[in-house]
Amino acid sequence: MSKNSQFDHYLSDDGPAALVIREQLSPVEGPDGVLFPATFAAGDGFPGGYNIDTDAAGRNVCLIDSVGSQANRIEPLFMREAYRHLVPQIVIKAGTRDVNLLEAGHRAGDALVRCSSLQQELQDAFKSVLAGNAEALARIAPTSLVFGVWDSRDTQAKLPRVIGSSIRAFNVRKLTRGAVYIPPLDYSELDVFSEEDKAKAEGNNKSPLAQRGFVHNPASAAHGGIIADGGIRRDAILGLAAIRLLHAGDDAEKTRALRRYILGLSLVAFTAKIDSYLRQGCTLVLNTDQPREFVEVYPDGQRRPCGVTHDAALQFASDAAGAFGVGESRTVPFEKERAKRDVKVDETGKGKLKRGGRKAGVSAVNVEAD
Amino acid sequence: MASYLCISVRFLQPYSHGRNDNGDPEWPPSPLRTFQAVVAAAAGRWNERRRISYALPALRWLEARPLPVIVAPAGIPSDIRCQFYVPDNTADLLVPAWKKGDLTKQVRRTEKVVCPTHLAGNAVHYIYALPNSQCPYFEVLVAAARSITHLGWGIDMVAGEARIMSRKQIAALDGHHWRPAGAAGTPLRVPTEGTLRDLMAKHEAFLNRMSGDGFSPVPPLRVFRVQRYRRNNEPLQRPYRVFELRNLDGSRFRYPPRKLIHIAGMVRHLAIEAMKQDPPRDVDNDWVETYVAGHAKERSADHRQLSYLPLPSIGHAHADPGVRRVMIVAPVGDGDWLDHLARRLAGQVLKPMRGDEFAGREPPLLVPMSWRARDGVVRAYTESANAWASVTPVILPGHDDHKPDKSVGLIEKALAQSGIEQPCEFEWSAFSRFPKSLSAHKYDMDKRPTGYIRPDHLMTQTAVHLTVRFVDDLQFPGPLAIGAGRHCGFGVMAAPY
Repeated sequence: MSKNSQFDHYLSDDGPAALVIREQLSPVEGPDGVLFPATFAAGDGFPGGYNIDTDAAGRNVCLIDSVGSQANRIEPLFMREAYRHLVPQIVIKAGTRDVNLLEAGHRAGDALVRCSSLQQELQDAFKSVLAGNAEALARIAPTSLVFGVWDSRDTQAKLPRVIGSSIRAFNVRKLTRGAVYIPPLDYSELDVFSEEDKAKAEGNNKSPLAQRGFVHNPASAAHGGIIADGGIRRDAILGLAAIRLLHAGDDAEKTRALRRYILGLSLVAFTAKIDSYLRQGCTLVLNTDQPREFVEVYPDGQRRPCGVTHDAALQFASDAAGAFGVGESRTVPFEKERAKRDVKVDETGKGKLKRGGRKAGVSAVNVEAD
Repeated sequence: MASYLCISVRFLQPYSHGRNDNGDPEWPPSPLRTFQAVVAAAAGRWNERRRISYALPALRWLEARPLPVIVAPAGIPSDIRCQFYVPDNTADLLVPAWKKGDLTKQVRRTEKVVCPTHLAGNAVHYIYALPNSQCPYFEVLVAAARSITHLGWGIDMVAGEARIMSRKQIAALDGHHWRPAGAAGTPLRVPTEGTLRDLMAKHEAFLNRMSGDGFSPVPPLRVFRVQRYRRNNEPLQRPYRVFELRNLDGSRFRYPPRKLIHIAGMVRHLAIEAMKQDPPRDVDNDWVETYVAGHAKERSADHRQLSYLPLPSIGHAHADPGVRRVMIVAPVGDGDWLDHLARRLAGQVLKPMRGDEFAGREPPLLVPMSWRARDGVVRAYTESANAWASVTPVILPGHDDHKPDKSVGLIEKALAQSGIEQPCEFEWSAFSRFPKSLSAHKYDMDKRPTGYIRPDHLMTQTAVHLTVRFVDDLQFPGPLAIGAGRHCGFGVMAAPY
């Protein structure tokens, strides 16, 4: 078996549909440590704060890190020294900032990269995707094929994510906390303002004196984190079936090379250690007391152990990248004129709507069955 | 031996984010959603991204199958609609600020409400009956099904499969069986003849939406049907007809809720009179006595009767709870008899039986309310809901001697007597969840009669206000009345707001 074909069973129609990792995590302070989940704004009946829901088993479940957030944490892995060689490093120079495509929120569909000198090349690549050839896109932005992309401002080409990962905590107890800001001096004693003004301002968040730190200012019943009595778990999925839907047109050999390349990148991202630090107060590490589940899931539901290591994945990815031919790394300028033209098209396009009509005799059927 | 084509979709995480036409969580995933997933998978599998060709005969064959039975685990919609803020694709608009050295500006974000359905299992199966046990395009459908990668949102990653199964194998599948139903049930979109053609036309329009002439909007998918599906243990809705109480000048008539039993009695009296005069064809001689009047025969195990339910107004915390509507409910399957009665009651004036019911006012007319015209009050009493709370107290089949254990037993008996077999949880109290409903107490602290006036034969039993929540997020259809007075206005339940 050649080194490039060692994972070909993952690309076979008879192979597993996905790889799944379920690993138990723990706050770095310990399993009963307090951690701070993501907070969400109030709206649509949601009071705001932590996203604590009830699952089908009646347990409460708290979202710690969403699929989108995990993807944004994992993708920049390919900027690191050990992995840079696997993907082209496309950097867009915009003013004083350099933005690597791997950090662009919408990946190859991001407005920033579209308004660079890569615009035509990307448009052509997305049009190729729509016509059944993902090779060109894999040369410019291969991680867009791994984490999914939607060219929302141009061709509307969409590619599903191959990797999805999220972290949730179960049976959580919500905590609150209080704090008080104590100024280092009593400014009223220094006649900066009167005692009366001080009394009015203390605890009043709207008071300029409180806002600028001149008086005591308590903050009570604020979000104080959670304790996860039911544990914290990261669920990650690598959708092998999605990789099998990638084609390099009708060329079977190129298609195989493309799929191996994307599989290699996916295996690297999938098996890499995730960043422990998610946000202030939320540093999660592996809970070594609980076994980690890493399985191949077959279409009939069977689950079999998977033994792919990160080192093996990296070696495979390197070989596959070499065989595929990694695209050229480039630094390209953001082009203001392209952006202006792009905005203009958005605005004038609305005025040029062509009204479509249905031909007579074609029925539009949407009936409620009796 | 009969064989079936089973297309299975396994969710790799126990969540589904698919939404129905109203933007609410959809469960189970509709047959149309899955059909579209199979079509998209086929396009990807054989790399026919512009126009499907290879799998076309197989997909046409699948489209033409009779409606599938769906076997799915329980899906519990999320309690909360969490608002995510996701970045707009407008990073280019930050560049002017970056050029000036201001790196603090952030990409604008747009709201995205996330409201998943939590799954009690992972596999959803679509079971298609096979004519002559033959599946002519089986290999193609297997390849297409195995190429399904997502169902619902882009974060709903799945694994697909197709198999031929026997009836016995299907019966052994885990999950609730959902079958096409009549008027009651969960509406799900299903493909119909022409759906595939419409999908392909839509995709063609999408690919050609930009041309030298400008932008042509892509039409929505139009060729499909909406079919109601019912879970295997989901109860059937009882037929009902609602009448408004109106004065002769057309204005609304309000009756004090405390005395709603009088309205029930007067409507029942009119029904008896009307049916004595003109009963439906082919009913037994004692039909009016037993079915309309409700006098059960001795030792009758299968007694069926009409219920006369005055409806206190509800809908918000300050709603005046006066009775302005009355509902007549028939047992399941007796819609025709109910129609017959309702036509003869329409326009009739209530006749006082005690003489003092209306305190000098003119008695009201019964004005039928059509199904389409049903208002928020009626919907609260009749639409399917997972949780129900009593508006009028539930009169239990006995006295609980102030012992909670006995209360539990009596409540369970009352539920069984009311025909509720589905597993549920309940809690009880003297007070209703509806703020203006009267308590279940018979006497106040000064031993004066309080609460709703009860018939004499129901005075000695314990009454409670009840909240019932069905397990597995079962949606129980209204109207629902529980307990000993359930035919005359007691134990009337509504969905709490």
